[in-house]
Amino acid sequence: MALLNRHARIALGVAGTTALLATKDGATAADLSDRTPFPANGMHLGAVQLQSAGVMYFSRDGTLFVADPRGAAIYAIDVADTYRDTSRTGVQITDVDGKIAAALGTTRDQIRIVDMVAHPLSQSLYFSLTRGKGNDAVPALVRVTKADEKVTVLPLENIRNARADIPDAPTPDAKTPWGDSKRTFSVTHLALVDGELYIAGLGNEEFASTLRRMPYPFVGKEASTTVEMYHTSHDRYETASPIESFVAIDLGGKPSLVAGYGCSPIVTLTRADLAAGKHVRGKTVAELGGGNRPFDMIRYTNAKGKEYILVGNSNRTLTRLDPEQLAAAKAMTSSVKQAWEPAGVGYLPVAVVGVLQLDNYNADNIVMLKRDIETGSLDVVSQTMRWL
Amino acid sequence: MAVAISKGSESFENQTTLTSLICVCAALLAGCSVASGDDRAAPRIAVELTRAPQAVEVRGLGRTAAHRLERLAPDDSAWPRLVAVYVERSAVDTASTPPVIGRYVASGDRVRFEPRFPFAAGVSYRVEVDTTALARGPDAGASRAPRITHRFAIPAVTHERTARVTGVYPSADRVPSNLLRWYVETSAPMEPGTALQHVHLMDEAGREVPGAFLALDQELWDPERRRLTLLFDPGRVKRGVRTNVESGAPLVAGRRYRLVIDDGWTDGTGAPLASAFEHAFEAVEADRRSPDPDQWRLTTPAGGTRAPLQVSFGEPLDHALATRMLVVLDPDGERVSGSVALAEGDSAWTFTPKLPWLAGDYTLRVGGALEDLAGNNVVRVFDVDRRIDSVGVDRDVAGATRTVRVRVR
Repeated sequence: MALLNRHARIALGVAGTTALLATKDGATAADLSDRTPFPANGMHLGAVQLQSAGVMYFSRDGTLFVADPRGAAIYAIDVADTYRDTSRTGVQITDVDGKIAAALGTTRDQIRIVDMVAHPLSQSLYFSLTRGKGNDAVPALVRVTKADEKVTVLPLENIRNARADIPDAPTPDAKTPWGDSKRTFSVTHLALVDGELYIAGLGNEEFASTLRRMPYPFVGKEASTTVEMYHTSHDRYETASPIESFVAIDLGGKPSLVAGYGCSPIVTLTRADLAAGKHVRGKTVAELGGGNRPFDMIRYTNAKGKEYILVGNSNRTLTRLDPEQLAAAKAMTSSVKQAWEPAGVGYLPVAVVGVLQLDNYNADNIVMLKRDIETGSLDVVSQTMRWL
Repeated sequence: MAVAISKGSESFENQTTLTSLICVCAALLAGCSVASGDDRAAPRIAVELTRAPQAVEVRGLGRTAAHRLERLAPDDSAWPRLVAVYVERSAVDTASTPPVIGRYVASGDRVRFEPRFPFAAGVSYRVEVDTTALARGPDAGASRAPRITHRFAIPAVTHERTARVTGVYPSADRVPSNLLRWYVETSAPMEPGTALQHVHLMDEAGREVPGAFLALDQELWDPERRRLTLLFDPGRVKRGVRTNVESGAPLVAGRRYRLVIDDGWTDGTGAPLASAFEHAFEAVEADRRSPDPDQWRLTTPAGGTRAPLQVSFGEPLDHALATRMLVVLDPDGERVSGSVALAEGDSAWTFTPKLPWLAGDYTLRVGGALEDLAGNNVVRVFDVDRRIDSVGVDRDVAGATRTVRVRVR
């Protein structure tokens, strides 16, 4: 999942290398000037009663946000991960699902990983998953450390957390006027953007593209908004479609969103337009090619200080987009001539395949959950940004 | 008893595995001493499966060990070196794996390990006890018994195949070629995550239409996991969107299809469906118009009766939304209690009030998100052509409503 605004932290890491290295060698984490040690955020010590483990997001200070779509809730969790690692080395954990399964006392086929995010300060990987199948499935959040691959289950029965209802999402005990509701809401992407959680997803009944926003720290239902979003195709057809993934980024100096949709368009929106009750129309500026879902997206700044967006795809290689080109692009107006042909703003196909999850990692690397296409192994691997 | 493996008999259908395991355990421990305070005797291992929490207990570690155990913190790294439970992997799977996560509790010269999650059916486990983990200083490595290994397994449980697909919606045998979704209903909760491997759209020649349905990371289930929402890939349904241009719409008007659900789909117990399911239908002309409540035909009941209010849509509407998005308001604007049923292949809606109708003007309130089979809702069509369509283009859907007057005499 994307970690937004992390370029600022990385820049700080470069500037303060000596101090940060000292941290890893034993100094306290309080030395980290960009770390806010959980301010008045409404958290309390108690149980996180996850009915399902969904997508996740880490804020810069290491607060973990977890969607519980079945429970129609978002949790902010203090994972109490005090380890500090400012190294610039990559990470490699082979057979990660086998290792997690073994630690959870079961076999690989009984583990279903939903999401993976990297802790921005400890470089540990966090997984939301279900253990067991069908009626026996239990949601769990699991940490795997970088250095020794130690697997830990987060103690959700007693952990500092804050809970908020997903705005306008059907709750488990929701009723229709005539009986039990069968409505559910599935969260596809989550991110903290300028003090607001943005929640993208889709329902199992009406077909709509809604972006839910709620302030963090959580303050109550009344402050949340739901925005209906549409995008154009060939600057002619306007349609609603669920957002698969998005990043918040400035485009041409304007705070914006770059969103990837299920039927492959890349769409840009200005965040100032995202007012509740307002018809919000995004501009389709690129198509990555047919038969593909752009299911994960991050932004990063490379060694030369140039910012890019990386897209993890269901049926493409890792894909790099240039925000400057996205900002300058006009809406697409024409179709393509042959199958799988990309259109609109061009992209760099990065020679990495089998990516299932994508996140920022450290000053030099991004991290991926990746299926090795030769061995079939599910691995955590990193990719240096030197060539990105 | 040196080794206790017990579990409710209902879980032990695989008796062969269980019997052989009990034999293995008994043989392993046959020579063990029972003198718990004796530092020279080998420790014994007991596996408790019937009580909650389950546990693996190592008994008879000796007095010296007991003293050291008292001083170990709950998270001391010595615990898993002393007693560790591993998931047994196949011979070809040689990569090392971590021990099972759990809680360690010492009591006298006993160590009890309680796994974080219950031991899983069909999984074999290996217990390793290494008392040298407790030794310190000059004793290290020379203490007491060598490493002890013990194995046990939880039998796999097989359940009967009883779950069935009870129906799909739309149930009509004619659907628009730009159909947006199916609802698949089952008699029992299903196992999520594999639906697209088992649901097939077959054309007239018996060939599967590839990539017809939208793959999602999280399948769209109702809270009970008995109704799956299956979306046609919107990229293939929408006008002008690239997948449609490349692959064509999955359904072509004038052709016949079968929606086939094979019997390999597993329910929540892991058992496959009792039987496959098939639904034949014909694709007809695409529907690119919004449902229009002004065009609906109402059969108004007489005052003083509990006769149903009947609404004929003139076309089938979305099964789930038509059930939920229409409400009847009384002349004071209060919602009328009653029951709702869909009829005629979801093209008719009937409302039977709890109390008799009174003469006056009732209102049928229609939510803006009510959709037809092609995803066109009451406010706007599924894919607006901005050069042609103007109605509802700049209106949001969720808060919009339409109303129809229902005059009861």
